[in-house]
Amino acid sequence: MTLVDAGGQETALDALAGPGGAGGVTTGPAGGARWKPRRSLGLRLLKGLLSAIISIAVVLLAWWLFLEIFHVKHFVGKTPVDVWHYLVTSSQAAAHRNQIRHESATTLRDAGLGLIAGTVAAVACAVAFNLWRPAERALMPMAMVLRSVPLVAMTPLIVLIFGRDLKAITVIAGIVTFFPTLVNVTLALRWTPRESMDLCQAYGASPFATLWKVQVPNALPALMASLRIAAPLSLVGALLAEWLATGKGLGYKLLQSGALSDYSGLWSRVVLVTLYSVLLYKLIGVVERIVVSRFAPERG
Amino acid sequence: MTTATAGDRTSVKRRPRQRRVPGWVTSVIAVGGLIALWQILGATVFSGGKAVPTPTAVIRQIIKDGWHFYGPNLKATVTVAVKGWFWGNLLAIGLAMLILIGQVFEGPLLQLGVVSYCLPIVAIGPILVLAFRGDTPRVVLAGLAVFYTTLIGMLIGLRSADVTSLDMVRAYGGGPGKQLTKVRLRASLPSLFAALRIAAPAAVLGAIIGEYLGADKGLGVAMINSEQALAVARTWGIALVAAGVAGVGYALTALAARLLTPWAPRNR
Repeated sequence: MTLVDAGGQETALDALAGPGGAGGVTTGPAGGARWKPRRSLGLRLLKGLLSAIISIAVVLLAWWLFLEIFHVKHFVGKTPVDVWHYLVTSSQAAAHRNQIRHESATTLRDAGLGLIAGTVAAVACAVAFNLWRPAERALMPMAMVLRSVPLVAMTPLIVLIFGRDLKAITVIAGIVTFFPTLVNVTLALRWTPRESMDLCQAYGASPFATLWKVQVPNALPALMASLRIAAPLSLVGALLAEWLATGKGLGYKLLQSGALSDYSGLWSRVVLVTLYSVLLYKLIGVVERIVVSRFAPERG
Repeated sequence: MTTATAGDRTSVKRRPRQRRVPGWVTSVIAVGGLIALWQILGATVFSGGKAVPTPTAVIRQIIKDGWHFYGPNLKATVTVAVKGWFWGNLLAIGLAMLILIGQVFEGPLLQLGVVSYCLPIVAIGPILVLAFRGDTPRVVLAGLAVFYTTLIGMLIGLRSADVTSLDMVRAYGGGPGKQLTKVRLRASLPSLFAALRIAAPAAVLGAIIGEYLGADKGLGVAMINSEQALAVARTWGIALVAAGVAGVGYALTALAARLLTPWAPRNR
């Protein structure tokens, strides 16, 4: 568990949740990294596909069990079959799909913008902190505090300040990404190995060159881990903001379909938005695994 | 692996010994400076827009609203958050121990955990409201918000037990159960508490978002009402109080961690 030192156990937990979820929690009892033989790409893809199928099956089972155990009436509690019918086999399926596609595009765009804006801002601040230590020492504790505050819950306040348009959504989705990423990347920049820093100093590199050539690549795994952790939460922020502020996109339409008793529509949208969230998480996990294997192979 | 790093860059330059000001002093000064900046900006730049009141105006509003306003709302939100925190963590700890016993459960349970983490709270809120009544939907949301992190934290903690101690238990004739109670549980505490520290604010988050989706009392409800009424200072006040509640939860957990696991490394 070499990542425990890299800036607090929260980071260790985040990173050890593993790029892509289940794969990472295989630390041996002594905590050392286990050497895994390299399998062929085809076999790995097959394994990934199989695990995806199993997870989908597990989720569907849990869904069905939920409806059964809590005796949810069929009028309000739709099964996977109902959702399939709504989206694929019913007579208005195409219209439904079209509508949902439009809403999904809005939501994903909003969440994506926020995620990117938050990350860029966080990296810029982390670099600034690294170049000017007094700023870091003064402001980091506050960033750590703000990281713990449930910022998505402040959505009404942010809507009040930034209005009811794209700006508010970007701010909410961005803020959720900003603080954790800032803290993790700052700490990762600080914890570059001594040998690399000494080497740069021996060659007379300027702080910028050191930063660019050594510290940033070393911090990339932490950056990707932060991004992966923040992505679902920024999607939640975007959905909430859509519901509270803009009235467009899946966030609003989802709750509206509940209010209009269009329960098949509600469940379909819930399934899709969960799917987007999981896909985003896994996708970033894949990129993270690539980054880790390229920039920090000893930690992979 | 505590090799040092870029942070020690200054020590190489051999500066003359200065008296180090303790870290917290600089951060207190910085926070004070930011609050002062907020006060100035609020009184000048933002005074026209009225979206950003001064800190003093916010404090005054909080005092004016007083316990009469905050009391019932706080009670509603904190009750839900605590219940959700309790049940979510209990389930997570139980499942982590289950995974330890039966390795075969690990794959599906962890995948389910990932889905539970990615499940947008805003999306399943309406469904929970359909299936349950009372404050159960909100408790479930709060529990959902804490589940995955605690599951991972507990699992890592249980697995991080020292091999030598485990072997010793086995040498004295103990089985996996004895290993669990005598070694693994205590070894899991630091990692568990790290997860619980995150869990407290997450439970507050789940409770508040649950309130947005349907409740009659609580900090979330109050915030939406005051936002729609454009009561700016009050909205800020409620947000600050909500942040304070989350902060208190975090601090209490951190305190419990420090008291119960004095051997654990003190990271923040």
